[in-house]
Amino acid sequence: MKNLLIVLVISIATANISFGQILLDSTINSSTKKILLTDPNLFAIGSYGEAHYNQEIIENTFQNGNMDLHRVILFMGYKFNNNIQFFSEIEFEHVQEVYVEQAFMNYRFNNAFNLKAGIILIPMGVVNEFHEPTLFNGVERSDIDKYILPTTWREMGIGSHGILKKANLQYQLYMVNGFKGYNGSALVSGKNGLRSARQKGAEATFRTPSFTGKLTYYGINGLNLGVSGYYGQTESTLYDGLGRDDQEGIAMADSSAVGIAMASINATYTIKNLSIKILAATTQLSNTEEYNEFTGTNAATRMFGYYGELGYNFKLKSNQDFPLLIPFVRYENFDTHAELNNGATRNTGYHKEVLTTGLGLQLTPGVIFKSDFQWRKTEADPKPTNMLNVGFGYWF
Amino acid sequence: MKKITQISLIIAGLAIAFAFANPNKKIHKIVSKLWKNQEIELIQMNLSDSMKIDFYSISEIIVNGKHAGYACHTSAYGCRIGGCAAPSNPNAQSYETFDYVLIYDKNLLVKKIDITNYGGDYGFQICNPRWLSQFVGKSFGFKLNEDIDGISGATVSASFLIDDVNSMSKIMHKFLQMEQACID
Repeated sequence: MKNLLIVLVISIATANISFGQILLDSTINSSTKKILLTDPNLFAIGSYGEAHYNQEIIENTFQNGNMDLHRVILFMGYKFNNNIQFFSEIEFEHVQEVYVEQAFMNYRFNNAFNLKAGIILIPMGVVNEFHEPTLFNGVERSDIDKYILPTTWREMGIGSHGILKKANLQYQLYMVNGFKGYNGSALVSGKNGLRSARQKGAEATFRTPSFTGKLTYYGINGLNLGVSGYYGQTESTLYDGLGRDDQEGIAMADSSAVGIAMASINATYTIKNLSIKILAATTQLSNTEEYNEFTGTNAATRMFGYYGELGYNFKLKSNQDFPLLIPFVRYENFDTHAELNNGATRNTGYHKEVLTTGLGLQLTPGVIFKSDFQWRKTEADPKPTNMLNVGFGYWF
Repeated sequence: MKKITQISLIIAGLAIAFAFANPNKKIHKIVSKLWKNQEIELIQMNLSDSMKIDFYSISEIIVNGKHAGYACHTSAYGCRIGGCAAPSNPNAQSYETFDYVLIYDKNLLVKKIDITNYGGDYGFQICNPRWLSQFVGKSFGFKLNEDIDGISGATVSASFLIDDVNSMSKIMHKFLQMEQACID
């Protein structure tokens, strides 16, 4: 209760500060606009971030809450001319961990063909690409966007993207650095899936390229439909310096890597103020029998997850688009141990269901306060654990 | 691997070819589709320096020898570099731009909008012809979410386009009044 009070006080205090900053007008008058158009050198700077309070609730038990400035991101972009652009995001996670979340050069030929190279986001699902807190419901990102699609998933890579106007399609196709499956111990596991295996562009081990792509169809009003794929093999430190005729060494290194084939489909449909979101993702892993035996881990041969979400935007002031009150409910079902090799023991604790229901109060497009309640249960233990989350996010 | 290289080279070659495509040909193609199987002539109009800031070009459309409307080639703001859901400080010079062709009929009502060149990774949903068809028959004084449906993922581009078409229509009305006055 004391924690709750503190959150309330902080929320009210920050709300006042935020109100001071929200007097931004989203439209520029035409004359300023056209003058700006004559100058192709554009510099963009901005930030987004989110602060969270997570409180697990267990009957008759003291349970410490967690207050976290989860992430603050500073982004910078520069348009050298109409064709060449640089964009970067520097992230401070949990106050003290620093990452470069995106940093790429984009060369634009035309609508249909752009080249991109650098640290890029893997276009799987929705939240990995659109992860700003004003763009998703709930204080925390969905569990599927953590355990099945390891958001924020970014790697070094190169590829092209563009719009195929006649077909109402946007495509993205990249060759990227793969996961790191082994660095002396296993990084792929039944519990965390591929999450700990991301290399994030930090002196990443690279031997074989992985491929990823996404098609987004936007031809029906209100609907965004995406299909994504990823294909590759995990990297291993064991290959480094190995003689090409060292059969034993190669066999050992081969046992320290797994093959990954991943697919996901997502749809967002908006009718008036109602929005429906659906996502399903599946990951197929190969060579896991050798990998598990060699490293002593318990990686599955298949992981999957899906969710469905309903949200409604209530306008709090007529004739104004903001503030918005957004109640939502989301059901998730995912399993990082969906299928295993013959003889392996399936951990039913990794098959989870999550029900989240909550409210978002979006004061302007760039400021949102959120609170929600989550019930999580596993196949092993059908009694749900309860979690209360409160937080705010911003983007400018 | 060799195949991949070959395919990439072909794609890149095509892309470069398209990049240098003549915009006037593109406009002619759009107009020809609106007045099918008819004799079409586009006469480029002389623009003052101030008009040149607003338009790349304005052409009078002549169909079967008769005045039928105007074809304007112009540009508007798209999303911010790096995202499309949050607005920005109006002074920040951080917007992507996109080019579009605006066809008016002889009464200066919008007959067609075609986004010819969209810059940026986000907000591309406004290229959807079904969404763009809502502009047909309008001139100015129309608003997002009231007269034109909102579009998820492209709120910023959509509002900029609506804003831009509104102001282009006003400028066109003024421009033609002045032209008329000169002739009179």
